[in-house]
Amino acid sequence: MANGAAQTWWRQINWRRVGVSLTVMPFLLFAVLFMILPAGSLLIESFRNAQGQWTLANFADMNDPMIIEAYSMSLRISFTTAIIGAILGLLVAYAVTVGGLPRGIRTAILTFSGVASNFAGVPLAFAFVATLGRTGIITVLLTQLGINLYKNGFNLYSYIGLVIVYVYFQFPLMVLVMTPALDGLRREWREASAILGANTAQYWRHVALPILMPAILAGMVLLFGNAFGAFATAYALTGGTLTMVTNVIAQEMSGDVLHNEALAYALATGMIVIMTITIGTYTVLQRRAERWLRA
Amino acid sequence: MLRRFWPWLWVSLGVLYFFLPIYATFVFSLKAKKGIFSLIAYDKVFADPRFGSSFVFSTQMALLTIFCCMVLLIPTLTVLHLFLRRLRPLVEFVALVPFVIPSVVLVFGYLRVFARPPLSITNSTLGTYGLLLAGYMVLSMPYMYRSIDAGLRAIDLRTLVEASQSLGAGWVTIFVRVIFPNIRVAVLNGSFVTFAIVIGELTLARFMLGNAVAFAPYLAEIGRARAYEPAAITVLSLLMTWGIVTILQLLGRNTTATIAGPR
Amino acid sequence: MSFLVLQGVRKQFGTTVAVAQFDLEIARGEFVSFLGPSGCGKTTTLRMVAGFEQLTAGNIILDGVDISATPPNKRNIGMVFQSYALFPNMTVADNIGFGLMVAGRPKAEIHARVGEMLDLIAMSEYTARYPYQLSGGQQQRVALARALALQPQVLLLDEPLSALDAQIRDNLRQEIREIQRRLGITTIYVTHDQQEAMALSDRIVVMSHGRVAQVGAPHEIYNTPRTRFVASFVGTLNILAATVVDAHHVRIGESVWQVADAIVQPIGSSVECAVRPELLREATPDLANQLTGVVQDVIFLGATVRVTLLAQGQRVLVDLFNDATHTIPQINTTLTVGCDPRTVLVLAE
Repeated sequence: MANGAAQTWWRQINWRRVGVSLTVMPFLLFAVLFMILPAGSLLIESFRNAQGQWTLANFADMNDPMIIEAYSMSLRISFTTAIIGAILGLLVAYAVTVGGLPRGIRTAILTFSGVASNFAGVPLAFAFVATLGRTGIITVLLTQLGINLYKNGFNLYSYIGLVIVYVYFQFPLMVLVMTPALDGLRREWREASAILGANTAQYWRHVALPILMPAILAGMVLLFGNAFGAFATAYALTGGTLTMVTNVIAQEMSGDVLHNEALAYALATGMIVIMTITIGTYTVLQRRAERWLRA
Repeated sequence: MLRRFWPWLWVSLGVLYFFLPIYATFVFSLKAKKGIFSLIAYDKVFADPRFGSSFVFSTQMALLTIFCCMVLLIPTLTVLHLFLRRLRPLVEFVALVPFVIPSVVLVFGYLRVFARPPLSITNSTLGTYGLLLAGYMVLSMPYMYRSIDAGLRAIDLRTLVEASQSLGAGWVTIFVRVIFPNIRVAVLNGSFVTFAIVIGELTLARFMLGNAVAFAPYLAEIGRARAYEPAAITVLSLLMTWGIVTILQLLGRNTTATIAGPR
Repeated sequence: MSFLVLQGVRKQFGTTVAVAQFDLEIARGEFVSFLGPSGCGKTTTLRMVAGFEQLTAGNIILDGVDISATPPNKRNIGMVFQSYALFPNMTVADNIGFGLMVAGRPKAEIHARVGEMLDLIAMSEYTARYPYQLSGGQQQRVALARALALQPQVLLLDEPLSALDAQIRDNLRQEIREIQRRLGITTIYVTHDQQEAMALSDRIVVMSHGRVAQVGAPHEIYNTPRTRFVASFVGTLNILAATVVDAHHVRIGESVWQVADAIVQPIGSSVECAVRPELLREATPDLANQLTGVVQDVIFLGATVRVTLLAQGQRVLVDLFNDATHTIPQINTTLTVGCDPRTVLVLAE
């Protein structure tokens, strides 16, 4: 009897050990090997010079017109497309939730958004080449109507073009982020504010918008990060000629353009830092939004 | 219905933004021959053997990624939910790490660590493919993690396991016959996102394998050289995306907001 | 002169009739409950008073003014919602002061009024808390204060206690009643809980299928329900099939019972007699109405003992007082119970 109990006891302990070591360890090992190690190696190398000595010179070297241009371009594109995408996405999300459009429209828009927010990269670039490129359908159509886009300073393969293309996947993402938040606006809040004497404008100003604000900001931050790390769309569209951080790093990988490998590590570290701040802010805002909408 | 004017306007604007490029691409893809609409561009796409081979390669990689992610994540998460609840925030955090590493930076790190001595994994084809697979797993980790986690949260895991044990089931049986079937829909959801990510992924494949092997780099290369074929391929890949979304909708799960994917 | 009058109020959603015909006059300072099962139209009626639903027909007159077409924000009515509906982005003080704030009152006045309200609900130390930091009961008290801060002419409460735990519910129920008495505010209270309605109201409006089934003081509703629906919805009731013998007698199986009120149904017709379980007791020779049956089940409830009796083929519930000097009836024994003729109701229909 005692023997049997001891055996069961053994079995349980054993299993726990096996469970922990065999099931969690591979995951952590994988994470260390393929996430922490590569990123960490770039981080560490960004603090060392070519001779392997510790230094901050690489970050000082970032004070270079080309690199500043790259960062400012990346930040500008991310910021601009986040703002435009957020506004457009918010309006569309508003229309399909609070706007009171038929149920079918809402389903259709959410489906479109699911597709469009994932319709990025190489095919998206091609779609816009076919639309607004030099021989694109819209370009040709407008030319026939007497409006020559390219003679009026428009160029799809430039900053403005990239903004238009990015907004294509940015605003649907905002729709997907904001729809649940707008759904979370409870009918009772509107009614309570009405019965307390508030008109529609006061309701939006004092109740709805403040409640939505964390979600809106979270959405914008998400959009920002979404654009900042993007590479494929710009690469397919401009062939990597636009000076953006991602492009500079990519060129460095293809051939030594910076003539300073350590500088590339510093560039990469800068991206990781910006993305970490972005995602951290997003997480905090998102938590706040959820707390309010649940209360 | 004048008071619905603004909602309709915003929706119309969104729909226009969404459909105009798709419509234009479709029309453009039919204009390979001057003056008439034809399917010549599509013929040319299918005539290029690299179209098929790169697509098959990427599909295989996608399926392999999904499988490896499941093998890595399902047992880990099950154990975390059952026995190691205190470790969950740590793993959750780790699964979010890919969000803060842009794919360009990730591949840069890979080449830095694995392509040089002492490791030099990329000297062999198998090593390169393995590294690519690991990279894809990292990119899809947040989605797979989230969907499996949501699946496990939605079921009363502990009770299910205890009930199975009291009925005499072993752990293999519990995994295969009880846990997996119950989280299948959730896992499928993450799998579709993973599939889309891998098929459209340009950066890792471009810098590890060069221009021709995987689908997206092949596309990008074609786009540089030709005018109408890229439009045709875009139409084809959109049809595929629509197919996936339709399946997702049929499964009754809303597509959640995603940050990654082939940007 | 009635303070709030609902005249022929009707509400239709498409072809569905939510409220068929609703007439009611409420006096100033009165506490009226709308009681009924879900879907009976009680909440819809309340929402029409609030102005959230347009009337299909009829009028609502408040203090002599027809407010049927007045938008909610111009009605000067306070409302407390089932789900509290506090604004999550505002503190307790900001929530209570919201109505005054949008009305553009000076800051000092708002501050003073909010303080008064916080005293009223005894939550002065929670001024700076956010709703998510409060318990359900506290949130609902804040919601009550918010509704009262503007000194509305009418207070509407839409199942305010149904999301709360049993004990908090009882305490808050008491508090609502006390506050209402103190302020003397005209109040409409919607509930599906008959005990709540009984405990709080001056008058109860029992509703069924969009119609008023009966209006009366709690004791009237309980003691003399007019229809079978009212009788069965309010409290527990034995319904016994009977045949009319004459204007004051019915036959229930073998027994003939006396009925105090004159029976309007024709002699020989089938009717239903209702009698409350607690009004039946062990028969003594002086009781006019008696019924003998076999004890099926005995449930000990503390103050009372509920006996299930099978008598003349009908199930009868009897609540006997628990008395230590008496023995509790045994299952399968015969028991004769009786009641006073005044407690027997012959139900309409």
